[in-house]
Order: sequence, then C-alpha cells, then structure tokens
Amino acid sequence: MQINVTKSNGLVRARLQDSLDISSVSEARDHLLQILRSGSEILFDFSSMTEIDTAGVQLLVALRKEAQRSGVACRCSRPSPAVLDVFHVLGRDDIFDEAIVTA
Amino acid sequence: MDLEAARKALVQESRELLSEMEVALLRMEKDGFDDESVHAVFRAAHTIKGSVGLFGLEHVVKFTHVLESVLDEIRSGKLLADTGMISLFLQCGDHLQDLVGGIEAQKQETDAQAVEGERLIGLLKALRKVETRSLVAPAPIALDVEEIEPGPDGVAADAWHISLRLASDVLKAGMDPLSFFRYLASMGEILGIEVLDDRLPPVDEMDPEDLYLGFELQFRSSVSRKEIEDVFEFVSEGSKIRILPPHCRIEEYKALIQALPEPPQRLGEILVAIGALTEKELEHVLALQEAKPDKPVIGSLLVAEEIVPPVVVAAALQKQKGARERSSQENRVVKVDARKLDALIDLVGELVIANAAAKIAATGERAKRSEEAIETLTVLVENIRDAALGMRMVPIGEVFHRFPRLVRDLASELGKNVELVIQGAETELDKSMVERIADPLTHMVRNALDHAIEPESVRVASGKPGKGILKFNAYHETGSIVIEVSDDGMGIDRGKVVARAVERGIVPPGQELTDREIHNLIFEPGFSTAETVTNLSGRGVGMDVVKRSIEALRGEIEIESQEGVGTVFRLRMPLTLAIIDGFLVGVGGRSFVVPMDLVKECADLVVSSIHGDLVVLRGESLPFIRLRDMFRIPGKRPDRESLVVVQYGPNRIGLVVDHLAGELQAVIKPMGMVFRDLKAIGGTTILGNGSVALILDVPHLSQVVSSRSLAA
Repeated sequence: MQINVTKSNGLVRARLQDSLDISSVSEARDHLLQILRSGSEILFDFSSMTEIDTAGVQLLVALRKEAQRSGVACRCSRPSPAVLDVFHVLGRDDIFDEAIVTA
Repeated sequence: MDLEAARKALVQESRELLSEMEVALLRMEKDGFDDESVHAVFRAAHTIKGSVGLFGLEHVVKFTHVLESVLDEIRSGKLLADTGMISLFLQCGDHLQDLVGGIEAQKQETDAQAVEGERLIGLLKALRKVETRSLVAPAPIALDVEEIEPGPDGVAADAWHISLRLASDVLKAGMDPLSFFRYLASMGEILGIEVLDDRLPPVDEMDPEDLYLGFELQFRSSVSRKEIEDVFEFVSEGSKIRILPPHCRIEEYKALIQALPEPPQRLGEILVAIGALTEKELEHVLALQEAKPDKPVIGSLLVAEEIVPPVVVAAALQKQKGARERSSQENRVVKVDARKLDALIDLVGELVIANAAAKIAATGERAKRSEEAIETLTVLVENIRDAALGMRMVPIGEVFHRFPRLVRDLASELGKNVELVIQGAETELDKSMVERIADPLTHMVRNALDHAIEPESVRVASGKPGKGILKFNAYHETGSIVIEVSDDGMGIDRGKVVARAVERGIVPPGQELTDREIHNLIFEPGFSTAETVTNLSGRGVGMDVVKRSIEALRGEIEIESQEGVGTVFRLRMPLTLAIIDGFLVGVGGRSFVVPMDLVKECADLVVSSIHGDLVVLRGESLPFIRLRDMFRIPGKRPDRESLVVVQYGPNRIGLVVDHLAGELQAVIKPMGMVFRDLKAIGGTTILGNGSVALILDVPHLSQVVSSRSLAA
C-alpha cells in the first residue's frame, strides 16, 4: 500500500496504490487519518488500486464518517475496475459525497 | 468449532426435542389438539431440520422437511388435524430417533431406514393431498410438498433474507464476507445488500482488522436452505447468521428484529432491509409522519396504514422502547459434559478428605487461629460439596416421561385400556441413577400391563372401571428416594404363587408362609406365573433381574399387594452415590461410618434394658446388634457401650458400638470387585488421619436384624 499525496489550493489529492486489504488496513488507517486532518477537501484517487476487500471498505466507511463529523468533503475519483466491482457488490456507491466519477 | 462436540450436542438436543414431541403427541391424543402441543411438535421437527442441515445430513433434512410442512399446515389451520394422524406422527418420531441413532454412530442412512423414510413421507404427503382436495376452495391441488405456499400471514418478499453479524475476527481469520457474496451470486441473484455500519467506532478508535459491519441481504434463488447455510459453513464461532425463507412467517421477522443488535432508530431502515417493507411503503409512512403535527411513533402509523402486520411492529417497537433485556431463557441452562461433572465431584471428594486432615492437624497443634480458619473452610467445603452434588440431581420426571409411550403401545398391543398417571415427577435424584433405573422400571411396567391389569371385559365384569390405572409416584424419605409403581389390577394370587414356587422347588410343599414371604417369591430367579409366555414380559427376564439391578444401586424393593385390588412395587434408592454425611463410630480401634440421614438417636447402652436380642428404649423394644459380634472384632467390650438407633424405611434397629466419634463427610470409595458380594458393608472411606473406615450398609443390616428378631 502506497499513498501519494499532493496538495493544491486546499484540495488534497490522495492517490492510493496497490491493495487496501486486511494486511495493510492498520498501517493505512493512520496514514489516511492524517491526510483527512490535513485539509478541508479530499479527493481519493483509486485509479491505481488493484485490490480492496471488506476490511478496506470498512476503513473507507469509517473515514467517511469521520470526515462528515469534522466537516471535510470527501470525493473519490477514477476507481479501478477492482474497486468498482467491490463497491457494486456491496451496494456502497454512496461512500463518498459525489457519485463515483469513472473518468 | 469442534465437529465431534457439535455432533454430540446435536444428538442430545434432537433426543430431547423428540421426547418433548412424543409427550406433546400423547397429550394431544388424550386431550385433543391445542396450539401449544401442536407448536411443540412443530418446533421439534423444525429445530431438528435446522440443526441437521448444518451437518449436511440430507436424508434427515428431507424427512423433517416433509414432516414440518404437514405440521405447519396443521398449525396454521390449513390442514384439519385428527387423532388418527397421531400414530403416524409417533412413527415419524420413532424414525427420527432411529436416524439420530445413526448420526450418533456416524453411520450413513441404511437401506431399511431409507425405505421407512420413503414410506412415512408417502403417508405424510397423502395426508396433505386428501385434505387439500377436501377444501372447497378452487385452489390448485398442491401436489408438490417441497415448498409451502405462503400463508395468509407470510411476507410479500419472494426472496431469501440473509442477515449476517459475523464474529469480529473473521477478517483476521482470512475470511472476507465479499467472497460469500460472490459465491451466493453464483447460486442465484442478490437483490440487494444493506451494509450496516452502526457498530463502527470512530476511525481512530477502531481496530481496522476487526469486522464491525453487519450485512442484510435479499437473495433470490431456488436453492435449499442447506445450500445457503453451506456457504457460511466455515465462518468462525460467534458469528450470527440468520436465514429466512421466501414468504416466511411474520413471526420469524419479528424474532429477527429482536435479535438484531442495531439501535432502535434504525427501525425503519431495518424493516426495509429485512424485506418486511418495501422502500416505497416506508417512504409513504415517513411522509405521513412528517405531515402529522403530533408525530406519532412510526410503529402505530405502520399498523394504521396496514402496511405491516402488527406483530412485526410490536417486535420493533418493543426494541424501540429500549426493551433491550434479551430473553435470557436459553442462558439459564448450561450443558456440561457428565464426565466433567464427575471429575469435579471427585475433586470435591478429595477436598473433603484434605479438609478433614487439616482439621485434625490444627486441633492437634492447638492453634486457635488455624482452627478457626479451618472451621470457616469446612463450612465452605460442605457448601461446595452440596452444590456439586446438587448439579447431578435431576428430576425423576426425565425417566417417568419415557413411559407414556410404552404404556400406550403395550396397551394397544394387548388390547387393554390403561391410563398412566404420574406423580412426583419433580422429585430429584442422582443423574447416574436416572439412567440405571429406567430398565428395571421398564420391566415393571411390562409386567404390570401384561400380568396385572386385566382386559377391559374382565375388569368390567368384576365391577372395576374398564380403564386400568398404572401409577408412578416418587417422593423423598429419610435420605432416600422412594419410587412407587402401582396398578389397580388383579393383585398377586397367593395360591398360584405358592403352587408355582413349590413346582419349581423354590419352597418345600406344605410350608407356612407369610404374605410378605409369598410376595417376595416372585423375585426368585426363574419364577414366572404367566400361563402364556407373551413376547412382552415372558422373556425369561423376570423380577429377579429387577431386584438385582435395584440392589446393585444400593436400593431395595418391596411389594404390597391385595388380590383383586392391585399391587404396589416400592423402590427405595439412596439419593446419591458419591459423598454422604456420615456418623463415625468406633469398635475396638476400628472405625465405621453410618450414613447420617439414617441415624435417629444415640444413647448409652443400659445393660439392664437388654432382653435377648431386644433392647428396651423408653418403653419401646428395639432389635439390636453388636458390631463387635457382627464383624468378629477381637478384644474385650468396654464397660460402657453406646447405642446408635438407625432407621431405614419402616425398620428401626440399634447398633451397639464402643464409642461415638461424631460427624464427618464421607467420600464413598466403592469396594473392589473381590468384595462386591460382601453384605453389610456399603463401601469404604478415608478418614482425615489417613486410616480407612467401613461404611455400614444400613438397609441390609436392618433387614437382617429385623428378620432375625421376627423369626425369634
């Protein structure tokens, strides 16, 4: 799991790479939480994610809740087919503020 | 999860359910169909089906399914029940017993079982067909027994509802719920998944490797429940998986709502998620709720709108009120392996002995504080002992309730009309006794039905009611439990018994015998007065076997009988086989223990009050025996001897000893094989100082001493 973070005009873009699964969620949680607290608008880029499992989804849901609590806007962009598939199976297309942008 | 343990639990649970089912069926036969009994029978079939399904025992599932379907129709009033069906249901119960036996022995279904299963399924299906046809309604005849038509109170949803609250460690265990969903999708169509994140803690507090999410899904498929259950076969313990079939009964949803952990505010969402309501119906209700100024609770709206049946709302509302105390019904009973209990009692036994040793040591050292501490300890040890032994105590009803069925079947086989009356079923006795007393009782019941109770015509002719009564009764009496088996049959024919005994050479011809002696003749080996040997009791297994098995349990049996009026067999059994409160006495350096319950009083032996074998105590003469003489203990009698008066049943006797040493707790160590036949000694125990004391078999002694004084 690798996360590349870039900032511009208050917008934080976090690009998640490889897999977000049971083996990496603990480490990712700390990292992502830090990112969440670093700005007022976050864009998660899932285009390079190869895999996500229930633990990963659960972490995203928890982050999303935290973001709502602290008034941070969260969006998600360019989910990879693997991520899309999981969101679809779980019916959680609504994890993020806007409908998933497939572009 | 340990599969072997699970299998044992399954077998035990199924047996319990089957015996409940039998009791309910017999009750129905007697008192007619009532909801409670029908439900008990249904529940047995239903629960067994569910449990065996988890083990992939398809043949049992198939059979119980058909049985359950028929019962459900009776329950919902679609099928008219009549008492003629009860015999069939009883046979189904027998077949299930047989199958459960197979599960226990880990055997495949035998051909004979398969044939019997098919036969019963055929009969069950026939029941439904006949009834369905007799309905006037133009409904198509349901020939397919495999699926139950949705009842009037079934839900609209035509899909399976699966509710998952998996154990928090499933993810760590390498299982991903996603894989379950993907697998389910390959078997049918997942109509929707609701992910419940109510239990998800704040992100900085959660353990990301634990699972907090719950899942509710609607799944449309033609697979069986078993196949769905198989999907979740390997999830870890502590997972809650609930599967509701399409169009299932409202009560099941009600139960589901009560069982779900989510907070009450989620009522509406849960109702949608479980498919009891459609999204639209809920929106409608929510809109109405907005419009009303006084904002009534959602539940009453749902009912008023007739969208949800009241039961479902009631269940949801109960939850909403914060009525969170779950029914603790199932938590009140813990099943424990009998061997663990035995091990515990062994340990308690050792504790008792160790405590006695500590007490002696402290007393010897005259250490006041130690003595006090040990006194406290002694009280606790006694309480622990009582509690441990109490755990082994079960109501004798467990045994008694096996018999209504036997009596029913035997009576109909013999063409007799007999009613079984049970009293004192709540009387408790040691669990190990329960298992060993069933066989002797069965013999006695067979005997009573076969020989004692007359055919209806004979009874009526002799002025008795046509229906014979066989009665079980149990009660506690001075440290023992008394079990009576009585009948109002013809009684023991003394003339016939004596004639037979003479013929068999058991007594010489012309000997004068008391009633008691004559009655006891039937316990002689090889004695049987039945003129025709039937396949019931005349199997060469006679009352002598009964007597022997009772005596093996340190019990005794007596008969009271009046010709033409009836017979009472009275069994007197010790309450427990493990630890007793004892009274320690000494004779010439030897120690003996008398069970405390049986000791009536102690007194100095006044030499002038001895008259032969009798001693006069406060004007009452009492047969007595000197233990010194009885056990041929050498040495001279002391100047002052003590008399211990013991009573067992109606017999009171005196035991003369050198001195009295007081109370103790005796852990009974059984006698070795060599001494098995030794009378007068019931066992041994180890005293606190390490020496061995013999436990007197008072029942036997009192018999010997009383009969000796009677003969004198």
